[in-house]
Amino acid sequence: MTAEMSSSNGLTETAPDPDLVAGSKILEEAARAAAVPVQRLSDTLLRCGETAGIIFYGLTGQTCGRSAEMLCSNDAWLRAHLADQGLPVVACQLRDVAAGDTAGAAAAALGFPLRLRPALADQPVYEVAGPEELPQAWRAVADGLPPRAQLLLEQAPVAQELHLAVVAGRVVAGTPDSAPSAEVADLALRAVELLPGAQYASVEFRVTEAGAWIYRVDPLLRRWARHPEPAARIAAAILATELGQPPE
Amino acid sequence: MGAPRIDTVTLARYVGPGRAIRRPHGLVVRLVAAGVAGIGEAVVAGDTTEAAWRELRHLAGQLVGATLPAQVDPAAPLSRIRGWQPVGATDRGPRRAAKLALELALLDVVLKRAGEAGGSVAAPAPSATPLPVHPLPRVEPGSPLEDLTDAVAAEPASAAMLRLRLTGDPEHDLAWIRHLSRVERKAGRDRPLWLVGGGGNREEAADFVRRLAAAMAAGEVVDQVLWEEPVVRKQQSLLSKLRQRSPLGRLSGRPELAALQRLADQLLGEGQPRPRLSILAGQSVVSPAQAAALAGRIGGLHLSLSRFGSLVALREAARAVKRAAPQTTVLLAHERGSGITRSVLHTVAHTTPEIDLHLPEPPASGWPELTGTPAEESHRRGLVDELDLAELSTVADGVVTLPEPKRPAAAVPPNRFPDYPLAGAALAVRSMLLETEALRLGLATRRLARDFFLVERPGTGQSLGFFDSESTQTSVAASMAAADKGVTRILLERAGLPVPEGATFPATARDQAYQAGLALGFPLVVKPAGGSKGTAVTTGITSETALARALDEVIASKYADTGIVIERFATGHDYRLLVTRRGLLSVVRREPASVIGDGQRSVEELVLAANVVRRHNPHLGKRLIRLDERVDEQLAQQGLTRHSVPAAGQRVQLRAEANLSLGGDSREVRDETHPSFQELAVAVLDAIPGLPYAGLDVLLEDHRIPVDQQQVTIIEVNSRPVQSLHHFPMYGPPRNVSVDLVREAVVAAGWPVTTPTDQLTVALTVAGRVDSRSYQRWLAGMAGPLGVSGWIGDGGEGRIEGVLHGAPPQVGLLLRLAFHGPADAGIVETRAVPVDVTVPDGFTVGRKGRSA
Repeated sequence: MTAEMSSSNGLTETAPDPDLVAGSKILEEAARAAAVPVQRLSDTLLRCGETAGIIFYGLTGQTCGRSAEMLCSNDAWLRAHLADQGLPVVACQLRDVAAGDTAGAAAAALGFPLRLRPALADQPVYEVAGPEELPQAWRAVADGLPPRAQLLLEQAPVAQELHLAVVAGRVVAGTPDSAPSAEVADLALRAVELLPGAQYASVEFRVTEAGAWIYRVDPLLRRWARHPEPAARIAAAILATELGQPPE
Repeated sequence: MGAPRIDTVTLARYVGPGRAIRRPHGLVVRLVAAGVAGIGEAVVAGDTTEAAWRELRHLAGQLVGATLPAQVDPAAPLSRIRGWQPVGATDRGPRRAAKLALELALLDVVLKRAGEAGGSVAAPAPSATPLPVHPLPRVEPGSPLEDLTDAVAAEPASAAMLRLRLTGDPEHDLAWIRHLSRVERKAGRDRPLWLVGGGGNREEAADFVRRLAAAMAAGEVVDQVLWEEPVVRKQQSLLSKLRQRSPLGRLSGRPELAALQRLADQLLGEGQPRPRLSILAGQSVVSPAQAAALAGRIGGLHLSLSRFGSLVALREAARAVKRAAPQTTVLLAHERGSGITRSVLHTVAHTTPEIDLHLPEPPASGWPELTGTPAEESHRRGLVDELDLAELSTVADGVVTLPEPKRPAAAVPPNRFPDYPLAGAALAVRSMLLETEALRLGLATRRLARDFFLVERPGTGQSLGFFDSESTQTSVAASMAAADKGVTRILLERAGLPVPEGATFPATARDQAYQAGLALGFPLVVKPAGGSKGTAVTTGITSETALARALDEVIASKYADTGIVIERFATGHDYRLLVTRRGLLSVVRREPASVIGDGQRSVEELVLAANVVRRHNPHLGKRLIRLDERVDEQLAQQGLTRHSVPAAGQRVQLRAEANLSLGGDSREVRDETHPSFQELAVAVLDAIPGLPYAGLDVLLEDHRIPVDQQQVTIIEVNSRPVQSLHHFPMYGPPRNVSVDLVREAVVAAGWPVTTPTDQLTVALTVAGRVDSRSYQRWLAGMAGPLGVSGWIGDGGEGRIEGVLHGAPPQVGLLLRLAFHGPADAGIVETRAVPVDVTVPDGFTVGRKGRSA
């Protein structure tokens, strides 16, 4: 996704995201390997299958809905949605840029250390060790943003990152590559189930000895295009799901 | 010069600035007598607009056909105009405002006619210099002094006086006055300070005068201080209010003001030019008799045109004051309103020798200008040059022409949508409509953004979503494909559907695109593949130069990276087809902006009336007809100008494009559309898998004849169709397509479908950064005018809870407003859950309906 897409959640892609371009190529290869007819429509769009077929954007096809993508575009929205159904998520709070005066209370409720960043982007991000660092970090992140843009304050425990790719009710890939615990895998499946109109997604966790918390879900599975081997597996699974041949 | 008659009166109203549903309105009068237009205006509070508007219509109706006096003195002759009623002692707000607007227009036309005859009524008087005032922001006790320093630093150095509204806390107010004086002197200035209100009762005001005078004597405060209305009349009873309005009351001289002036003079030395504390009477003076009674006993009178309700009476008051005590200062107050009001005040200040000072404030944002250039130089002799009808037509929400024009027999009245009082507001109407329909189907909603909400099936954890009008079933891939015009064309072409011949090129292949364009042949269309809202789209290209320019425009646009689409230019009438896989939901024909003559009104007056209708249409409210050069060109082709009066029944086309954003009309025609279009539309959806529904832009000759018997071209497929276009067509039956779109999503999710309810009762939860009490009051203030009953209260843990009950459009609108919030709120989400509770009439602030 381009910066413009991330900030506006709009549809028009002014420059293709390299991850989506790469994902589209991987999907094309998977389709050719499966002898599925393919027509390239653009750098990121592909048509696979007979007659009208299925249109794919990057790695994803018909069962990756706009609502799911929109919900996941804001980590605070997604986490509140999942937490409502009892799933463990990394705690966070949204605040308007203009509401810097209430950030202290929000930070105190979350506890330090925490991270501060724009709600719709990963950068700039500030690690805030204590309340004395918050005003300066707030100014730095808010700089140049409109008053009603939202900033995200989130807990930042020392934790390991874990990414799981879920397709049609199965975990088909993960980084680190070691098999996730059944409990974490189940969390990933439930998170995807709870997305409106999505059969697959990438689920990102923060894992400590105390447990695993969902950090983010990406229905477009962007990051996997950077990892060709698992991406090929994911592409094959998605293709089979979309064409009505769910993987075993 | 014979005695002219008042031929026509045009009344218009427009909404003033603010965010409330009931905002102040400007009432504008334009009356024409023998070709000379007189302009007047008065501003009324939001809750009295309707009453004032009724009064204005009634009073104006009595003036049509009346003969204007030939005399040049405007003061006397108005009473000789048949039907004219001067402002009376018992006239209250709405009636007084209506009379003021009419009186100003009458005076204006009389003055202009005198100007035509070479009269000199409006010759400048010596006391012409206005003294601009800078109002400092309202401050609360405890606010840091730096706020005031910043406010003074921000004011224009041209201001002759600084105005400070006192809080009523004497310690605080004195500290601010001292601080302000220090800031002024540090900047090398010593401008007069004008204090307003805050003095409390008689004794408290006297105490403040003593303390202020002491500070002035000690040199701690600027040399000149004016204090307006220092004594607050708290809890004035109805009886005392009536007494004040009575003839006897109007003679009252407010003895407490005179006593305060005497006290100030004693403390600072009577007759001393500096320092000087002047007590001013302001809002308490509403008649010449009252003004005369105060003359010589206080420092000055601050006369307000809106409070007098009559320019004639105000000038009489100024004269009466000067006759009684020439040393008493007479100030003309600033008034809110458009440039018309500013022009009136400016002229009055310049032409009334008895007015010493005019104190204009910087124009507040949100008020229109509305003054234009008069056709004749002599018409500058009035109060207002001319009314800018082009601007008025972009702000007016009501218009009446008297005598009432006859509607041409063939003219069909446009649709009206009284259920949506905020028509045209930037509230993402389409998202609001979908949320309302989801609630009517018994589902819960959770709004996260102005154009994004989730639909939840209570108790299941299952959810759907709507981003804009895209549903859960709309895939990202299909959405992206539809957004790329080049890709759409490939998909439709492959499915054998009629699309314009053409191709897509990367922005780097400009020369290739240029050659391809020449090969396709003129006329052509060039557009960015991923653009929206017509950005960098050029149609009807018929020359190599125009082709080159169009390509450059795409390359220079922000959509350049999406590629360049170049196509043959298709012709036909412009239609929007809204289709689901079950069939056509609605067909709307878009027609270029036009008006139909009535043999009485000019083109610009017809546009004014047309725009008022559009303003009340939720879809067209911000898509108005703009009278610009393009319109002038179009009119010229028909041998007309903006001032031409088209014959009754004559259709005047104003634009070439059938674009609703440029003032075009929408006409719903599904019932007469040939069935073959349904087949065509569903075939388009089949060609783009992943779209549950779409809005198709199609050019065709006639929707009533079969597809295969005419030229049909599919121009665009919109995955986010604008449903409000179908809900609110200008003509033809309105279609509630939103209920169908929500139902599609519900059925696709396998949820049970219920019958939509006729009334909505929902439990509302609001989360975000808000001042709970002020938010509750704000929402209650919105609920009342919308006719929504229920309550709103504090839900604890930073949340606000309530229950809303009423007709679905109003409840849906209030929910949408609840997310929007007041100016200082940062709402994070709103949740609405249909509930089955009995809600009494009225809307209360306080938990569970208990009075706060």
